Order: sequence, then structure tokens, then C-alpha cells
Amino acid sequence: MSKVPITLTVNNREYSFDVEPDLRLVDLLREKLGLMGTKEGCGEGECGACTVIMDGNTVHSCMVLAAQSDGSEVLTIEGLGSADNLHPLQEAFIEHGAVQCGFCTPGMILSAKNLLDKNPSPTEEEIKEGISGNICRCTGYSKIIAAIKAVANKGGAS
Amino acid sequence: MVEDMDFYRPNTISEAVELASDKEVTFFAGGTDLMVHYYEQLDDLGDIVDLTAIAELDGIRQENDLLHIGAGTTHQTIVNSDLLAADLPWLVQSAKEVGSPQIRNRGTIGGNIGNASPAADTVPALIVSDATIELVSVDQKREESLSDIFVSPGKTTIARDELITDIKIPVVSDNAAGSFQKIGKRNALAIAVINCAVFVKIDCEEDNFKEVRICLGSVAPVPYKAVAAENFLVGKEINLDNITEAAKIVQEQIDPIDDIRGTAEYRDDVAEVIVKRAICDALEQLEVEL
Repeated sequence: MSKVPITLTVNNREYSFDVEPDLRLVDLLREKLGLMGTKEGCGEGECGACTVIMDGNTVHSCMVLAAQSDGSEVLTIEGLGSADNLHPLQEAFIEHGAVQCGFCTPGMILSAKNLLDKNPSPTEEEIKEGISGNICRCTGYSKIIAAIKAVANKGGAS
Repeated sequence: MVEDMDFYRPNTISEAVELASDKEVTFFAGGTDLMVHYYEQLDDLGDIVDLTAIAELDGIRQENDLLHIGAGTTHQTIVNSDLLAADLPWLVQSAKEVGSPQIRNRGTIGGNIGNASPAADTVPALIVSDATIELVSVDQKREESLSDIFVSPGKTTIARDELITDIKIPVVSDNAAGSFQKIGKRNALAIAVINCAVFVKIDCEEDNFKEVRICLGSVAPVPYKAVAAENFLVGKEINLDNITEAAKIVQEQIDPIDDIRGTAEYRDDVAEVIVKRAICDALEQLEVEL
């Protein structure tokens, strides 16, 4: 298997790798970059726990081959805010009790960010559709929706 | 890890088909179907030809009386298309119900066709829109009517060295409309338990159906054209009794199976409901009162 040279930007930093053709983006992020915020929940594109934003769109990183991310810009949850400087969505999720076990949270927040980037004032239906690719087993979604609504109403998600 | 697997990322269609002409390849675009069983089928994939850098496969345009959708166009691009929203809203609806936002951002219409699942969502919508596909290999370019390519679940008449490049759909006339209905276990991230697309062209003066196309997914090994029901409706007066009868004919003619997503009995019952619902929806778009 010949390795594939790739260069990509992750959280605003450029990286170059030689990757196996069968390496997935989720594995590149977690194992080669140590960015463990992106989770693998199913490996089949059915749960959204592996969601990252690639070239401005959310993707299931378990379905993207690392080799396909050559030349791309990827944002993971680690790129969104830090403990000292939380992103409004992170703050709202905490404030509204939208985090229980936290496993879905990174993917959920990135889907919420992508939704608000494209549609700053979503209706409740649009919020539900925006996070429809992210499964949560704990919260029952209502606090998540409330948190997203709160950020939308404050007019800030970037 | 497979010893011999190579990965290629061509920038043009001709590079892609050149690669396919002397190697066993798998054309790989969004990967949203291929990656589900990727590790189990690594040995069968051959070399990967990534299509996502081929700009000429992406895009929607109209040329005279034909709409063209590049096979590499993602479902989300279809959902966002003003051109398709105006002319083929049922196709847009079918793309909107595929998977999830993340899947729609990567999955392509060409992949939905090539994967050849009988549960595919965009396929019935395309079939009732009279879609043809363009297939390109190093030696030739050919066209096939989409309704003719499906052989069995996962299998089409497309050769391994052929690439789906373009989907062509005739522009829709004023007195015609379509509808897409999907039933799944969830509102998103659901493979269809059953789905259905219809297309009707009516004669307003005669108050009857001029042309009727009905296609169902997940009721047969391939997308199912409800020919008997279509033939029944053509020339008939537009009223609820005839629509109800047509839906009944569909229910009587199909022979679905039990599988992990639903039972034959359920699909039988629901087929009748969604065919009726779809025809009524299409007529409502044409502002026909029933």
C-alpha cells in the first residue's frame, strides 16, 4: 500500500503526513494529532459523534478518508474555544444543562455552529434539522435545542 | 491494511477513467455508502480513485430543455439549488431526506445511483423524472435510461471501468408536478422502510391524467415501477376514487419482503397510503381540487 502525502490545516495549523490509503480522518485526528475531542460512536455515519467541520461543512469524519482531506481545512471541537475562553455555544451548553455524559457534545456543538454559521436565526424546526445527524442518548435533546436557541437569540455563534 | 491498495486523486474525468481502464478500481466520492462496510470489503475494492477533486463532476445547469446534474454533486448542493427547487422540487425533497446534514455534505447523487440500494431515496425521484445517466469509460461514452440500469440489490449494468458523469432530466412542463414520500423509523439517519415518487401530467381541459409515473423503493430488489397503476390512471378523470383505485393496484401488485427494517405486510399497507398521498400532493401543487 503506497502512502499518500497530504497537507491539511487543522484548527488553523498546517500539518503534513504520509498516510495509508485506508486511514480515516477520525483516526488521523485522534491518533496522529492526539485530538481526542472527536469521538467514534459507530464508525458507520449513523451517530454524528465523529462530526468535524471540513471546508465549511459538517462531515462524519469516520466516513472521510484521510487521503481525501489533502488541501482541506478542518475544525475540531478543540479549535472552537478553550477552558479560559469558551465559545458561546460551549457556554450555553453548560448553562442550559445540555451536557450529561458529554460523548455526543463535541459533534453536537460543531453541528450547532455550522447551523448558526449558515442560518443565524433558525426556527426550532431548523435547529432540530441542523442537529439531526447527531444522536444523544442522555439529554432527550430539549436542553440542547434551548442552548442553541439562546445563542441564536444573542446573535453570536462565530 | 491491504498490501496492494493504492489511492489516486485525479482532477479530471479522463484521468479517472484512464486509471480504471487498466486497474481494478473503486470510484470513491463521498464515501457515505462505501465506508460503512469499508474494512470488511477492503480486499474487493482494488485501488481507490477519489472523485472529490474532479470539478467537472460537480454542478447543476440547464441547457435548452435538459437539466444536467453532475454525478459528483452532493445531496446538499441539490437541496440548495434554486434551479431544482423551481423545476424538480420532488427531487430536492428526496435529497433532503437522505441521511443527515453531514451525510448530505459528502454523499453524491452519482453514488446514490451507483450504490444501487433498492432503498435509495433520490433514485425513485429521478426515475419518475425520466432521468438518463451518462457513462464514460476510456473507450466510449454512452447513455442509459436510469430505470433500466438496476439488476439486483447493489448491482447495476454499469461496468467496473465506467464512471457515471452526468444525470440528465427533461425540463418539466407547466401542467406537470411530482412528489416524494419517505417512511423511515426516524426522521433522519434512516434508510427508507419504503419510499415513493410520483410524476403526473394532467390535461386541465379534459380534467384527466395525461401521463403518470409511479416508482417505489424498498418493495422489490430494484426500484419498482408501478406500471399497472400508471396504465390504469392514464386517461382517467382526476378524482379521489381513481387515485384510491390506482393506489390499491400498487398494493396488489407489489411483493415486498420482510427485512430488518420492516415487514412485507407493513410495506404492502403503507405502499397504498403513500402512493395516494404522493399523487394528491402532486395534484395540490397543480392547484387541482379533488
